[in-house]
Amino acid sequence: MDALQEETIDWQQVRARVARLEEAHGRLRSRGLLALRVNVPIVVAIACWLAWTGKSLTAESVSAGRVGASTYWSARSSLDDERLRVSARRDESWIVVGYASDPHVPELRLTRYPYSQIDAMILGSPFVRLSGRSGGLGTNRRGPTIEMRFASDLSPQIVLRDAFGETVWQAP
Amino acid sequence: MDEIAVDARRWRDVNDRVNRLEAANDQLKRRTLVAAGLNGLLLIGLACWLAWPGKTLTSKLLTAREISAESIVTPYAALGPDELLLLSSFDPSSIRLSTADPQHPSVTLQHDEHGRIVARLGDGPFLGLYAGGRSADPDRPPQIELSIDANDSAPKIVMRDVNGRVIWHAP
Repeated sequence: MDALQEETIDWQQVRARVARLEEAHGRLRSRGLLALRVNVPIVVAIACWLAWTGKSLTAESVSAGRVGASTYWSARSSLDDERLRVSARRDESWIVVGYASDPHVPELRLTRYPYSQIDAMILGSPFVRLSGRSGGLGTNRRGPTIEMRFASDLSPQIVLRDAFGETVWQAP
Repeated sequence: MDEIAVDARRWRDVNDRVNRLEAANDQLKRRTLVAAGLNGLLLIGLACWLAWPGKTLTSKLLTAREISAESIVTPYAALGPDELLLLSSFDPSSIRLSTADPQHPSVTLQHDEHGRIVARLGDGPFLGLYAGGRSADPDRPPQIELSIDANDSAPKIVMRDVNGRVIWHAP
């Protein structure tokens, strides 16, 4: 009777141990699978995000030794391959330094519309023009101008014109 | 005798099963430890990469309230600490705004074939228009010069021909 009881207790202990082992095994397997399911997408997503050049980034402040891009712009200024443009708060004056689109000539333009403008460009030869107040919005009048230019034989000229474009003085 | 044999077989089976389960559990634990180690390494690597200031970062669009850099470059333009340089993609021409020489901040528009315009502040303001291109003497005076002499504060306008001879001046 005692031997039978001992044997029964042994069996119960062994079965309990097997049950515990099976439970632990199942738990470990499910944890491993869960970790795999969570970790693999995270690692793949981070790797893709880091490797993907088409992503966009937003930051409060960026510091770098050198920044390269096709275009930079801020609220009122921009820099691209062709020109740097800086505008005033109320968009009534602006400065452009760069290349005009047609013809593609280097130019520096300071404008306070419609009161005055300074143009400096190399259009076949160097040319600088100071323009005064124009006839106003919607008119073709440029306003009086002072021009520094070169004739076709490269002789220098300074020409003063009235608001209608008529020469009022010139040198030499 | 048969009962004893059955019992012995059952014991063996159970013993084998326990051994297999223990081995499998040990293996799973080892794998979990290796995976945890790898994950830790990956996370530390990513954190180091993100925190490392010397890295390069490529993005299609970057938006920031403030960008601080030693230089900003595009394929044909460069903005440095004391200079903006714009090169033409079509012509041999360039535009340079420079304070590299702090005594003489300047703006230069140059076309290698057609001439250049220089606006410069030194001891006095200077505006010079130079006609002609690369073949012309780089040290020649401008054909049109507006300047204020630093010594006597006298404003002057001078026009010269291509040989440098004064052909008109004011006053």
